[in-house]
Amino acid sequence: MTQTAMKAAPPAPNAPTASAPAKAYSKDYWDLVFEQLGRNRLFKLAMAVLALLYASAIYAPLIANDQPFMIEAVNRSEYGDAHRTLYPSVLGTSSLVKKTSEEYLSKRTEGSTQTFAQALDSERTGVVTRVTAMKAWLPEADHATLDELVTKVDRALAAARAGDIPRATELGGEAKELAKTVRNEYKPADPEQLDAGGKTLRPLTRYPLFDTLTWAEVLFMVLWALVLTWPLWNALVNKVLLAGDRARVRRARKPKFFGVVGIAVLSAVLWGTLSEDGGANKSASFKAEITAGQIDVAKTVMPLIPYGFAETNGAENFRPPTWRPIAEISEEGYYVRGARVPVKDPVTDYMPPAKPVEVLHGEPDRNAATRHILGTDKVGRDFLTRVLWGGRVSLTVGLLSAALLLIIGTVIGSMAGYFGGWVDLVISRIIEVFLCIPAFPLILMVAAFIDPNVISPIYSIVIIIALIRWTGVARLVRAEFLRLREAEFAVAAKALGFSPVRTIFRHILPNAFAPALVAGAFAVASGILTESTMSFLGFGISPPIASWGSLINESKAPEHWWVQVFPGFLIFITITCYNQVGDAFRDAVDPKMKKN
Amino acid sequence: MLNYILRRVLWAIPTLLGILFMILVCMHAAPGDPAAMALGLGAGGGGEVSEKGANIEAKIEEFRKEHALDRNFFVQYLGYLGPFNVRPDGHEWFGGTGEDRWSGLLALDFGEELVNKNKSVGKELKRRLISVTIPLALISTFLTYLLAIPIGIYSANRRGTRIDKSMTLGLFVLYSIPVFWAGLMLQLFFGAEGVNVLPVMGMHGADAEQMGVFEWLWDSAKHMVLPVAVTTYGSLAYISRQMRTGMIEVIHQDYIRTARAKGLSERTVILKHALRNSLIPVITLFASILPILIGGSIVIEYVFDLPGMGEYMYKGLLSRDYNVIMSVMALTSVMTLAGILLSDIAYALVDPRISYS
Repeated sequence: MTQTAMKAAPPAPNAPTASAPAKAYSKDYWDLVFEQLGRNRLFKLAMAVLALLYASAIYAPLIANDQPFMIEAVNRSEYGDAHRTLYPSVLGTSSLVKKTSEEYLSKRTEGSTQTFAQALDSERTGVVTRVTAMKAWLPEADHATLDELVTKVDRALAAARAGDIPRATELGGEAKELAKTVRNEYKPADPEQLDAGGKTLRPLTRYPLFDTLTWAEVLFMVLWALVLTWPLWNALVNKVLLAGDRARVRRARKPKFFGVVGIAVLSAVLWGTLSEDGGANKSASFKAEITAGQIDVAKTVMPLIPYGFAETNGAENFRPPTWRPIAEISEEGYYVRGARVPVKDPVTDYMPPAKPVEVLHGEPDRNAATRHILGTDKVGRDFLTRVLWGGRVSLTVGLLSAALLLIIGTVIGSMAGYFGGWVDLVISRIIEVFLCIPAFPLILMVAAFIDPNVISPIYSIVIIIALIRWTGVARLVRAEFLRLREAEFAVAAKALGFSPVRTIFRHILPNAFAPALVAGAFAVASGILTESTMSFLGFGISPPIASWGSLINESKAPEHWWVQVFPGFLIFITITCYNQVGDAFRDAVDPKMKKN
Repeated sequence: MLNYILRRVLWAIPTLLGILFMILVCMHAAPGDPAAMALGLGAGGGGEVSEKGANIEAKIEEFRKEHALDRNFFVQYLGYLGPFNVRPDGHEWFGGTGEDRWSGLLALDFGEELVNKNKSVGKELKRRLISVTIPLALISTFLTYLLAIPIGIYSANRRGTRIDKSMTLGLFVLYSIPVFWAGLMLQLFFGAEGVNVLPVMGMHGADAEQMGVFEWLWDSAKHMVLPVAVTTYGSLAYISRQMRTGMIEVIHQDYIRTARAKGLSERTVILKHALRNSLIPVITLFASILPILIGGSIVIEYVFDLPGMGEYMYKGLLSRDYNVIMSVMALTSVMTLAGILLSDIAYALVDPRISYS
């Protein structure tokens, strides 16, 4: 390293200006590695493709979803439910407050453990919930009566709590009368029959898609946004904040890293605490509700692909990609061309019944080229949506299994290399034994005997792969440790009396880790390959979740070619990119290659 | 030399014991009950248990007894290894009735199938290995070396040129194609939905019984094209890459410079002096592609519907057939071990620099 450092920053005896001497910075190991990688065009291409693939997986809920980003609508059925049940609720309250605590307890039905006070509280909650739901849809001017109703109910309840039964009965009666007025006057107006009276409801703006996002999804979304924009803000920070000073840039590496992670974690925490649950449109069937006319929409903003991950459509099972002429379906629901055109039975004159395609709100037309770009699966789920969401599982399994086997392999390999002797002997023999067992059949065998009720398939696959494939990394790390064990710095660490753990992890491992990291990149590729092959054979991910491999498993029939072509192509692209990254990384960290 | 070979062979025995031990450990480490899984009660069968719970429990118990799954782990290991049968009808030493004293791998008895109690797993495996899996592996290994060595030499001699770069990239991409996807895509392309020139499923046509010898051979060859291609391309990419690297390393050696300085023709230098030395590491890679071929046979035989060992393993996995799975695992591991042993010995035979001590 020192040699290269000298080369990079030659002493400048005849520097042009003495006032601005060339800043002497040495390049450290990672500078050199990144420089080397930066020269590799294929590496950069692979990284860009991977970044896009991960982006499509992370942002899948924003790209393909049946929930709208924003919906401005009147939900008359929701208002109607609250309105219809408000009067019975107040009626119940008014009859409850007539009773004394003793009467209530004596007539209490079996099984309910409520005390009188609790019963009063729950009555109040019932009224208030309905009033709040109604108020949400009503203009401000109509709130006064409803507020008055709540006040009256409150006063009746207060009197009942104090044991003043005559007063409570009187107030309860008043509340009942008012509720009756509300029942008659606050009917939702039907937009088609305006003269029938009733209240005109105001449209509410809601953000159902964002309600479905969990904090973990937000964490990765923010993190990935920062990663994708890294070249931009990194250049800006380096130039403006750090004034291009190499030493400061290098010192800023850690703060930048923790800054990015910190921002992502912070936004996830904020999301977890601030986002409230609920939103009436959170149901999966809301597209159907709009189409059926139960919701009057003023405006919606749908995602690019307006289909849910699990949204089925029985009329469109195994429909070919809709940009193909063969996918055309007539209005009655029959295929127009190709092998799937229904034919009358010549003897019985029987025509298979038609299932008309249902085009829901926000979806492309029945025969639009963009309706199902990648076709559909056996229950009519949009395949592009499935592929986008399935990538989440495939990519996660690949990364997690590689991370886990890297940890296992590093720990075991460094133990063998550092301690030597019988520890090394035992570990080497175990590795040797593992090398003789073909890994893939062994993984399949273990997977076949795991009960998916005991452990979820995603985690079991990750753990199986890591527990069976750690030997390669362990061998590499062991060899590095054998080489470095007698190096000066390792001997010095030992001589200083550092514990083996400290010597291994703080002193030797950072110098021995590069080959393991290269193996890690290949391990991600092989993890994705293993998972998809397992799922393809039916021993991996199983419904309701999907991965690229299990999507291919849906049909081996050649007439359903889109099921096999598209997910498989993504698997292939991902594996190619990871292998390329591993290759480039190996060239960059390998000092032997640098000489050439 | 003989001493070295003998020592290597002897050393393989404890390794083999370790392998079988590890397979059994992996089997038992899976957090599910093999008996329950074999009877189809693991996933989804939960509803039935509550109805006739006692009946099911008794069935599982009976299954465990029958397959000696209720025995101590080491007794099971011994039963797996053989030659003693530790099941209830086994050797008296292990509490059996003595009807069928010997079984296990050492007795070359792999047990019977779970579904079909009269069918011997060993015989079925032998049939499938001889008729499908071994021919496929041999043809593909032969093809791999036949193609990979010239490709590697060619590429190494034109190092840095555009041809070399595109060939390297092409092989690299080839290496990354998932086997099952390659199979499916070839089926799509050559099958009835595509250009329709090759059969894509099975070993023979439907009317193979009535064919003459040559017709039969031609039919079999046509059926073998796609499976062989899929079995070969991965190892082809891998081996030719290794060949290229090995060749480049050798070309930089002093003795090659000497040969060139002597005025030998380029052809002699490459084919006589360089090739022999660069072949050594490549030939020993035979051992490392063998487990890949065997492991891949599950996928390839499933995709192309070939009645070989891999397909047998797949069926065994589907029905959770304990005997089939354990036998195939043992057999493939033994074959891998033998491959490693052979390549080590071959390495020692061809490279005099290796010391035998």
